[in-house]
Amino acid sequence: MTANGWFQIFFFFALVLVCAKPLGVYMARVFERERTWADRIFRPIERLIYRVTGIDESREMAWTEYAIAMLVFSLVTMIVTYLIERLQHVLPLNPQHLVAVAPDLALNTAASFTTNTNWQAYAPETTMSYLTQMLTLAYHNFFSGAVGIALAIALVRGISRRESKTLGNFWVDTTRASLWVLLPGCLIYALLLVSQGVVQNFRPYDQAKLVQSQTVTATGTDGKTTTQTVTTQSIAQGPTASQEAIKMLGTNGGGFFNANSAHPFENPTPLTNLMQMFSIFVIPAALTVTLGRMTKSPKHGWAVFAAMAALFFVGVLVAYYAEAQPNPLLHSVSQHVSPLQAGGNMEGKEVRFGVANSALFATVTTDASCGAVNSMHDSFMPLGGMVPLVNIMLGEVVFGGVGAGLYGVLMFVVLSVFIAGLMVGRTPEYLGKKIESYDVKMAMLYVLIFPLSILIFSAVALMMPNLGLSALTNIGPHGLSEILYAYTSATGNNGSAFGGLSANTHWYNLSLTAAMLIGRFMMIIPMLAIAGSLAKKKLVPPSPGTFPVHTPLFTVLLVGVILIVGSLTFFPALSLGPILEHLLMHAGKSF
Amino acid sequence: MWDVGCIAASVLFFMVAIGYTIGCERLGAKEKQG
Repeated sequence: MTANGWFQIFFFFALVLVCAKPLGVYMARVFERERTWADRIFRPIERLIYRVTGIDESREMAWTEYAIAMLVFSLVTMIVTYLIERLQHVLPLNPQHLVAVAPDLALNTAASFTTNTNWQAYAPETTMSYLTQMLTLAYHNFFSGAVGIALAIALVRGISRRESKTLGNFWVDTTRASLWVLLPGCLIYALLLVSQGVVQNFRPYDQAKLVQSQTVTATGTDGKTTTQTVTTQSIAQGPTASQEAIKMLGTNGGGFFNANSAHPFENPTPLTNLMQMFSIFVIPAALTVTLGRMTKSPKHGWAVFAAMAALFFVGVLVAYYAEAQPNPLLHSVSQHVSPLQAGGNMEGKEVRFGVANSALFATVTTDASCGAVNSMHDSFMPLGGMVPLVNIMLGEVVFGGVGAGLYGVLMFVVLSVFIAGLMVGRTPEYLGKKIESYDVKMAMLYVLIFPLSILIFSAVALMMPNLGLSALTNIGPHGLSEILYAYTSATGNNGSAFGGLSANTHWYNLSLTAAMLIGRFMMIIPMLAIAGSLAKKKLVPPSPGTFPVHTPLFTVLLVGVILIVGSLTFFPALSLGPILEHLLMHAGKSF
Repeated sequence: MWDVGCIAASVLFFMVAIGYTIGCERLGAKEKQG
C-alpha cells in the first residue's frame, strides 16, 4: 500500500461526502414537490407526460397499488426488451448485421436490465445492435434506477407519514426520479466523458491493420485444428458515452463493451475512473441526507451514512491490503513497488489504474449494486476477491444501489431497533413508530429471501456436473467462489462477474434469470409492506426506553447487525471458497 | 416455442409476485384483526 494510493481513496470519499448534502437536499425537495431550480425546465415536460399518459399526479397509492404498478411496469418493459433483442436482425441501427439474440440469453438480458442487475452473459460488441443497446438496455438503465429511487422514497414516506394509507404515486415518483435526478446528471456526465475520449458515434466498427500479424490456432467443434494468420483487428465503436453515464449514475454497471470499464473507450483516463466511482456512490450517499430531511431527523440520516462509511472503509482496506501484497506463489519475481511497476498483484488489472484504483473500484462497485468493473475480480488474491463477494452478500447496503441501498439498509435499521427493543424489554420504536410483529416478519422475509436464492441455486449448480460444473474453468475452492459469486451477483442485482464461468448456457441463463427476478421483486414487496404498515401508524412520544437512532451507539449497532446477519448466513460458504483458497495458497497450491 | 415459453414464464413470475403482494397485505390485515 502506498501513501499515494490512500490519498486517492480519501480524495474520492471526500468528494462523495461534499456532494452528498446538496444532492440529498435537492432530491428531498424534488420528491416533496417543493420548488427547485430545475422546475422551469422539467415541470412543463412532466405535465406533458402526465397529459399524454393520462396520469393524475395528485392521486396517491396504497402500498399494494404502488407495488402492483411497479410489477406491471417491469413486466411490460421486460417483454418489450426481450422482443427487440429477438428481432434486432430485422430492425435498424445494426451496421454490423448482428443476428437475433438467442432466446435464453435474450430472457436473461431482459431480466438483467429490468432488475438493475446488468449481468451480461455475452460480449455486447458482438451480440447487441446499436438499437438494442440504446432502446432497451440504456432505457432500462434509466428506469430501473428511477424505480429504485421511487421505491426508497416510498419507504421514507412510510416512515415520515402518520396515519396515512398512501405512499405517493409510483408513476409520478418514477418520472420525477428520471427527469429531475438522472437525466440532468447524465447529460452533463456524458459530455464530460466525451471530452475525455469516450466514443459516441453510430459508425460501423473500424478495421485496423496489425503492426505484427498474429497466428491463431483454434480447435473446432468437430475436433479439427485450424491455424490462421490474423492481419487486421476490428475496433468496436458506438454510442458509448451516453450509455456509460447512466450505467454508473443509475448503478447499473452493464458495459457497452465486454471489458466494461477496463476498456479504453469506456474509461480512458484516471479522471474518468474517478468520475465513474464518484457517480456510483453519489446518489446512494445523498439519499441518506434525503432520508434525514424527509423524516425531519437529519442526524439519523448521517448516522446511517456513518454506518455505510465504516463498512466501506473496512472493505477497501482489506481489498487494497490483499492486492498490494506480493503473490506468495511467485517467490522469485520482484513484486515490490518501484518506478517501473505498481507492485503487488497486477494480474487482471489495468496498468493505467494500478492496484489502489482497482481495489477501490471493486469495493465501490459491489458496495453499491453497480457491477461495472475496471479489473477482473477473478484475478484478485483470494481475500481481495472475497471483498466484492462479501459486499454483495451483506445486501449491498454500503451506500448500495440507487434507492435499493437505502431501502436495504432501512430493513436492517428495523431489525436493529427491534434487537435494541428486546435488549431493554420495551416495544421497539423507530422515529416515533412502534415496530410490531408484522413489520419484523416482513423485515425477516426481506433478509431471508436473499441467502435462500443464493445458496439454493449455488448448491444445485454445484451438484450437477453436466449443468453447473461443466461451465467452470477453475477447480477447487476457486471454482466454488466463481459459482457462488454468479448467484450472489444475480440475486443481489449487482451484475459484476467473478469471471472464469462460461455463463452463456441454458442452465445459467435460466437459473440466473430466476435469481435476478427473485432478488429484485420478492424483496421489494415485503419492503413496501413495511412502508405501508409504518405509514398507517400513529406517532408515539419518545420515552426513556426509546432507542435513539441518531447516535454513534446506533451506528455501531447497525454495523453489528449487518455484519452478524451476513456472516452467520454466508460464513460456511465463504470458508469453503475464498478463505480455504487463501490458506491453500500459503501452503503452495493454486487453482 | 422458446419465445412462447420465455414470455409465459415471465408473465407467470409476475403473477406470482402480485399474488405474493396480496398475501403480504392479507397477513397484515389478519394481524391487525388479531
